[in-house]
Amino acid sequence: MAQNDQILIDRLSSGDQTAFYDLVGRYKKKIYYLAYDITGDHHEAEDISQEVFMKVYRSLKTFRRDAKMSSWLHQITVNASIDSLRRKSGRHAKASGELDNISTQENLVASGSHNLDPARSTESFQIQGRISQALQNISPRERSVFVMCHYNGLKLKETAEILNVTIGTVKSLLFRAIRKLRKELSPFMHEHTGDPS
Amino acid sequence: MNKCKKCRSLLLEHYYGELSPSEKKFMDRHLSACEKCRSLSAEMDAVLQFTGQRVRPEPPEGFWDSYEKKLELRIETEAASEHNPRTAKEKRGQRIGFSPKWAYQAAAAVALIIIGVFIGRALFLPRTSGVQHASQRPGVLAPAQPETTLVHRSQNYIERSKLILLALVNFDPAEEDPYALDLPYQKQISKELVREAGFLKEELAESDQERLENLVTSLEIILLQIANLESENDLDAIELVRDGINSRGILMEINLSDLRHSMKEGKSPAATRQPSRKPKTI
Repeated sequence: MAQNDQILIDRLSSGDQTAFYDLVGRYKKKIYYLAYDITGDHHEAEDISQEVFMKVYRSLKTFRRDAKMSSWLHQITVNASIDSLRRKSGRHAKASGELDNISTQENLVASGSHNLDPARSTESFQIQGRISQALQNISPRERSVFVMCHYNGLKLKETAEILNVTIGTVKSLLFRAIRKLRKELSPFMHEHTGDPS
Repeated sequence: MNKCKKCRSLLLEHYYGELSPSEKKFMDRHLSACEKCRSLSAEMDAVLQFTGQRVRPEPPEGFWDSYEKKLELRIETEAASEHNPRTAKEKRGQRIGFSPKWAYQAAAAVALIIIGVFIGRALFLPRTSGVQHASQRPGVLAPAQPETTLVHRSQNYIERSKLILLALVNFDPAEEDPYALDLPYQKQISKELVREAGFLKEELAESDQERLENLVTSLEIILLQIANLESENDLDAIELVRDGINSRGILMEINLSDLRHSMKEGKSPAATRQPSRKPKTI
């Protein structure tokens, strides 16, 4: 992937316009889902992801060959998503969480969860809703680190590079996020897993 | 204790499989030996496993198919706004809260200030020269050529007054239609000359121009009578004014003043303006 990125960067640096759409094709899902995980809003995630690619397009002529494409894209996405959350009120964030729940239900239906027995389906829907709600209740910075490591497959070191912080800071933010999520979800976790911890 | 601290700092790497072989060996050994750290690790793992059940909702159908097209459209729109300065300007205006209404209000305010300054300057600035003083008074008939001295201005005043007087003296009510006299116009000019006489007399008195001052005073009285005429049909009043002009010998005095002025200026009397015998209007 890194080698492919380097070829892509070379093509972009030489002014190859088609390289831009190759880059979009390669990263659009990653960028969209990262923005979605942080904002919890489909429309916001779409807008942020498109704006990220617009930034790339605008800087095509000045793009450095030694730049780390993946890190840069993730960095712009996280910053734009956190900015978006700050602009919005907490009320809106909660509303987004509700939308998330509705979308989750639609997704579960579309992905065949409706084939499960109704009790399992309801339980699954409730779990999705609780997790989404709990994620909305932690700080944007903690949520960003959590979703980067937990849902987007980024290593701790990569996350630190993207956020331009030390690994220690990333781990500290992750621990805080986990502690808060545990507090929010523990009653529900015991109920559904029977785990007393 | 140090081992517990090290273990807790590596719990995340342990869960996500990011440990080096030596670190993994250390963690496996420590967790099997330390109940407290094992409990802590299990607690954290439970949260991460539970939250790992989250399924992202898929975007609406067709979202990914139209993604590049939407982006292309966005790029084209931005490029178009950059090439069209008007659109770009409008966008900039919108961003900082400008509206055409606001711009019009600002322009109107600036225009009002400019008009106010002009009016203020015209009405309230001190007049430095006598020429400005006389010509800028409201209602004063402005001379065709601005006079530079008091005598010249006085002479100009006398000339204009003479035209009014001659129009009245030459009017024959038995032969002419009173409307031909255009009395409303003569009255208006007379009023303006009366107003101007007040300022002119003061200046003449200050500069010891007694003869001119007396002539202006005589003219002022006659002009005041003309200004106060009620209508062109009041032939008796017109006749009274005419008698007053003749009895005072004002026209004679005017001619003498003209003559003196011409001699002082070094012009021949013939060169002085000779008003026509029957001027209908000024």
